[in-house]
Amino acid sequence: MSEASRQPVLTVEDLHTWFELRKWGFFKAGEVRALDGVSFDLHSGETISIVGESGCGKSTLAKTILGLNLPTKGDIRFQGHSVKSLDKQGMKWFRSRVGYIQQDPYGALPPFMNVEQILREPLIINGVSDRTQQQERIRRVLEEVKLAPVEDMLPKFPHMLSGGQQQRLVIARAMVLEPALLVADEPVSMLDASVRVEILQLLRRLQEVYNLAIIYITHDLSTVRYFSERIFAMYGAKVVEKSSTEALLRAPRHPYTKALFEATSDPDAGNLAQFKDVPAGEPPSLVDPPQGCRFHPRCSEKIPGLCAERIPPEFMVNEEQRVLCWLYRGEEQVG
Amino acid sequence: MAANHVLDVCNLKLHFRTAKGPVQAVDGIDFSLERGKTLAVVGESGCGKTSLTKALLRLLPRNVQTFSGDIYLEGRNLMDLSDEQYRREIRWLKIATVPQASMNSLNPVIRIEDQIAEPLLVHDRRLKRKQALEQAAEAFRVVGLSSDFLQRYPFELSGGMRQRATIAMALVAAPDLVILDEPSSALDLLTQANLMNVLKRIKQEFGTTFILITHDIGTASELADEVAVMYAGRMVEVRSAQQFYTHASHPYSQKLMASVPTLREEKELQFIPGQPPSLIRPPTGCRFASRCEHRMPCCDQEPPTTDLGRGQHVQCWLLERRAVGV
Repeated sequence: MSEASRQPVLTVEDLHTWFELRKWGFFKAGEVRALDGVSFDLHSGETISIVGESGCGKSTLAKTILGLNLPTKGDIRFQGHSVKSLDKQGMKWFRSRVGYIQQDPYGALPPFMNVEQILREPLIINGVSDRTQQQERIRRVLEEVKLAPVEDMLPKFPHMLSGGQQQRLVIARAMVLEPALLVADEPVSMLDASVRVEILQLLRRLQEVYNLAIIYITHDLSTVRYFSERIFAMYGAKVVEKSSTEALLRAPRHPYTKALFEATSDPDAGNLAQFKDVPAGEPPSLVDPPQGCRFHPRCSEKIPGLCAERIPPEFMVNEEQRVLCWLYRGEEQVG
Repeated sequence: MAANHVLDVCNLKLHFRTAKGPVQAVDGIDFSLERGKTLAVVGESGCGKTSLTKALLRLLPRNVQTFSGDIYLEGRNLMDLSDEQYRREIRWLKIATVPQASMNSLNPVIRIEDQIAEPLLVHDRRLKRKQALEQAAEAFRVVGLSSDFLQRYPFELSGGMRQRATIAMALVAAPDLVILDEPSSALDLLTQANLMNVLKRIKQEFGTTFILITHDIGTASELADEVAVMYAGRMVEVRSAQQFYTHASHPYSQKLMASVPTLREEKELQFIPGQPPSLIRPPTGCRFASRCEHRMPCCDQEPPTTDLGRGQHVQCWLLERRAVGV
């Protein structure tokens, strides 16, 4: 492998995104710490799944990477360029290289544009002005996402498509500029079970063909097995566990990841007889997060005098798993 | 009709009138439910799950074209009752519901305890407010909420707590049957698991009979004794949970199970090509035929219902053929 191909597509370094709260419109009244120190590398052809509950910061992470939110602190480097230092032209290049797949396909598609117009728009904006070239690329991308027959699809408006077709159109729009990175924010959570698999398999195939890097955001732990190499579990604006998919499914380490694992039901008649061992309570407030580990108020394994006072650093449990948890304080500390 | 049945539904139909023609949202459904058991009704969006609850509760919109069949609750045919009788005697006293996204259906300007006690006061004029509030507090305890929250307003409770409050509201009149329409799908994973624990405990302690409507087959297994699969307005398979999760018989049920990702075991996921048919002019014969791998010439005719014993049945020509030995 050459030096260049080993360079990550995306590097996220100590990323913080805080939203300021205001009182009476101008007095500062604290901030919502939606993202509080996230770092990782993502290589081409690789998928990272980010799992967590609502309000844990996973969508903020996606939006900050896309440049829709400004980071308060930290940096994002895309193909070697720091996104912070890009000028207007640079941002345009960056946005053409990063595709975004939204959660609600119907909400993400303009109702007054047909399929052809929706797919032409990004080409026009990014300087593909030749009509035949536009046609050719639209055609190719529609075939790739299997919206066939292409001729029938072009004049259709979003409301004439089924949910699965709408989501495929959103994917086509993200793919039409041939990006290097896709950010998929809950791409299948609004779809029916039978369509869900189809969309995940489509994304997987596109990844293989184009050597795409994908960030897959989900609240559903059971879909990640089929889709990703690494899993990050987020809780209270922090990534509490970084693990390879295989290792996590074998043995989740952080008490929160364990709880997520326990809470996910596989279809099995045996579930009826068993109660689930999940922590009660609610995720923490991000305006005034608890001291020490953010999970400690709900944690059944907390260590008195430690978890409630000191923020856990990252510990390396083994080659494949790193956790922010004091339970592993005997292990090697990272960073 | 067996004596221990709470509910028997025979040939229930609910068609809606639209400009393009009648929508056959519920088209000839039969099932029965024993006391203390839970029936999970699963299916994809638009298959008629929610219309089924509307028909059972007689919460009908104005554009109903056909509403027919028989619904026996403890042997009494509810279809013989007038709307007013139904409202006075059945709804909420005998059949209660937790509607979809019900945590957002609480009235924001009324205290929780008054909302929970309301069905009691409405149906029994002689009941004192104090007694009703006591019963509300009891229902609150059953769903595992602290009585400190009784005096609060809905916005002071989290989503999971509001959802429990609506379940308390459904349980307060001790109904024979509670219909849960997607009770946990709007909640977070851990909150959802906690809620399923609460429902399971209620089921074990009080022997409440539930109908659980859901699209999430994994979560359904937490509560279901029996599973009914709906497709395009029909109930294509009704099976015991034991049988269903391992030996589903209808080709649609099998495909549906194969499309559910599992966390603990590796399996090859499949999807179902094509789309469900329009309910305005559904195809004659089996409605799944156009997407089915096992399609045969006879599938153009109405599939017979094969009885598998103990209330289980499947609508598919494959089983009928096997039974006859063709």
